[in-house]
Amino acid sequence: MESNLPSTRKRSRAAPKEEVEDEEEQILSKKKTGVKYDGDDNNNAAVRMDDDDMLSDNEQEIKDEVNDDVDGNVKFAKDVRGYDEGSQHHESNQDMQENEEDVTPQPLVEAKDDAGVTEYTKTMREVHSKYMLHLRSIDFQPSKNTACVEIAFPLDFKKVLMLTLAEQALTKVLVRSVPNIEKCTFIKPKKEADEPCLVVQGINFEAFY
Amino acid sequence: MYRVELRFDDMKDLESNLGISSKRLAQLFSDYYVPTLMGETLKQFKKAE
Repeated sequence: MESNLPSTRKRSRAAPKEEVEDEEEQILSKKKTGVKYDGDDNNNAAVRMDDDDMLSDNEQEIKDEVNDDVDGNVKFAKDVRGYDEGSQHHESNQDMQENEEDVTPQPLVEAKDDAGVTEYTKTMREVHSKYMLHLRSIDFQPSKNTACVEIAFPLDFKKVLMLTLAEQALTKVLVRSVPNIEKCTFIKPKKEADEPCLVVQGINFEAFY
Repeated sequence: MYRVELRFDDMKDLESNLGISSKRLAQLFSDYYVPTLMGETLKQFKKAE
C-alpha cells in the first residue's frame, strides 16, 4: 500500500529540515527564472501539480489509485458538464413549449355543454366531500330535461326505499321561495282569453301587492 | 347502486316564464339536492341499523 504513495511525501517526512529548506530555495529560484522544476525522482512528476494547478490524465489516474488504496472506497467525481449550447437551447425550447402549453387558453367548454352545466356535475367538489365514498356520478342534461344522480352503498347495508327519500329531499330544496307561502300551484287557463291563476297555500299580502 | 333521476316537465318554460336558467337548476341539483338526498339516505341507513 505504501509503495504506491508518492516518494516525495516519504522523503519530506524523513528528511531533515536543512534539506527541505534547500529544496524549497531551489524551487523558488527556478520558478523565478521561468524554468520548470524537475525533481530527482521521475515518478514525482506524475503526482506533482503543474503551475496552473491542473492535473494531467496520467496524474489523475495515479491520484485516483492512491485514493482507492488509502480510503478503501472508490470515490466517483460528480459528472460536471459545462454549458452545452445545443442542449441548453433544447431545454429552453422545452421550457418555452411547456409555458406555451400552460398559457394557451383552453377552449370554451361551456359553449359545447348545456349552458355551462358541467362544472356542477363533477363529484369532486367540496360540497360533496362528505359523501365521496358513496357518490358515483351526477348528470344534468337540459336537452333531455333530466337530472340524475347515482349513489352506491356496500352490499351489507340494509335496503331503503329511495323513492320516499328522493321526494323528501325534493321538498327541502327550494328553487325560489316567498316567506309564509308554503305551496303554489299554477293553473293554466282553459280558454286563451282567460288569465292564468296561481293557487297558493299561505298568506303574504306584501309579496302579493 | 341507486340511480335517482328527476324529470322536469319543460326546462325552457322555467327559463322563459320564471327566469330560472338550466345552469341555476344544475347548481341547485348538485349543491343542494344531492347533499340533502345523501344526508337523508345515510340517516335512514343509521336508523335501519
